[in-house]
Amino acid sequence: MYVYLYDKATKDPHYESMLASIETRLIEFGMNGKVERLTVYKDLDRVIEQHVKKGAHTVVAVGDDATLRGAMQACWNHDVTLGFIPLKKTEWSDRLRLPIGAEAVDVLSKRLTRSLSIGLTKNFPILEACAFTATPDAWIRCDDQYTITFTQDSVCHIINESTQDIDNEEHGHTFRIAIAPLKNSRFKKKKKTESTFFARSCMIGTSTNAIPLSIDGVNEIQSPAELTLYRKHLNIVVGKQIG
Amino acid sequence: MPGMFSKSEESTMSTSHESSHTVIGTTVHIEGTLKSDEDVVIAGSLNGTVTTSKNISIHAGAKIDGDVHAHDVLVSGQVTGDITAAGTATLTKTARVTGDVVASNIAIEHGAQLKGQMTTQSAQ
Repeated sequence: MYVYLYDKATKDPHYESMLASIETRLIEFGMNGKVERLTVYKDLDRVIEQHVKKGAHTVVAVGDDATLRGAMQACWNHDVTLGFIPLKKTEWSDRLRLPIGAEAVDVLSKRLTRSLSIGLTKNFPILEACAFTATPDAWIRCDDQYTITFTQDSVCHIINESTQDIDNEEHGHTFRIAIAPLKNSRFKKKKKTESTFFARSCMIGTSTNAIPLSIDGVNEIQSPAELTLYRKHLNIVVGKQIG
Repeated sequence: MPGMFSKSEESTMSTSHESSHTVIGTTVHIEGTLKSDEDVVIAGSLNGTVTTSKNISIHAGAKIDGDVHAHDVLVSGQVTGDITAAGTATLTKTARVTGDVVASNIAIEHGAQLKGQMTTQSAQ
């Protein structure tokens, strides 16, 4: 059974004809299913859980990247395949090689999927990245092999490579740690270098006060925190140029 | 708080996947054993061992206290430890090495400093 998540963009008259052609195509392919119109009052996690109990096997976000991100957050711990019908060109439509509108239905019907790794920290999924500002008393322990410390305040992103570089299966199932110093003061002339590391697990901590960590721009937790790759994967439909 | 989802951060950060190389920048310090299957670039400091099946480049200003193992090693910084290269070890004029260098080929520029033994041997 298919479940379609319609976000607020689908109410825009600008997309009315596109939506009609999408729905027509879904019916032609025999892929019509349940429609959930997302509102601020709906608990998406609960909605998905109920549909999964009733036998939903595919959840399709219809809208933009925010819709897809919400669907990923709700579906990561369920045995469903995720699909996306973008109403406009977005970062994720490019990443997944998806056309927009009704043509994306054709892609959805082919069900070519990619298995995305999910990061996990304190029971929150890391679908894209964990971001924080590191001070010189912060540290990152990688794969229990080496520890990174900072000589100055830096912006750190611990990126789930699986969802960033979908083409590259070789590097897919790992975290990429990207570190850049905050901009130098105008009195400093020496150019600083960004750092890049790869690890399957990280522990973030500080020797003094806890620091906030932003998870996918949605949740916030405090250090210390361990980031690992979850044993389950999220299957997502991709366009035919991948794989 | 800055993050990849906000536009307001003041940073030179690029979060796109540009390279699979490990890069130790000038503003970080590493303690421990760093292993990689890709090229490693070191511009910062490391206290421990760094090993890769590919190549290591140690920039001028970089400091390593520990051993280095790679296919090719290019040294322009400071290494206190042994360097083992299955291919070529190159010490440029700013290289300051205290330790032994073992490689199939060794190249040393005028100005490089080495306190240790040099041994050339066949690729393993």
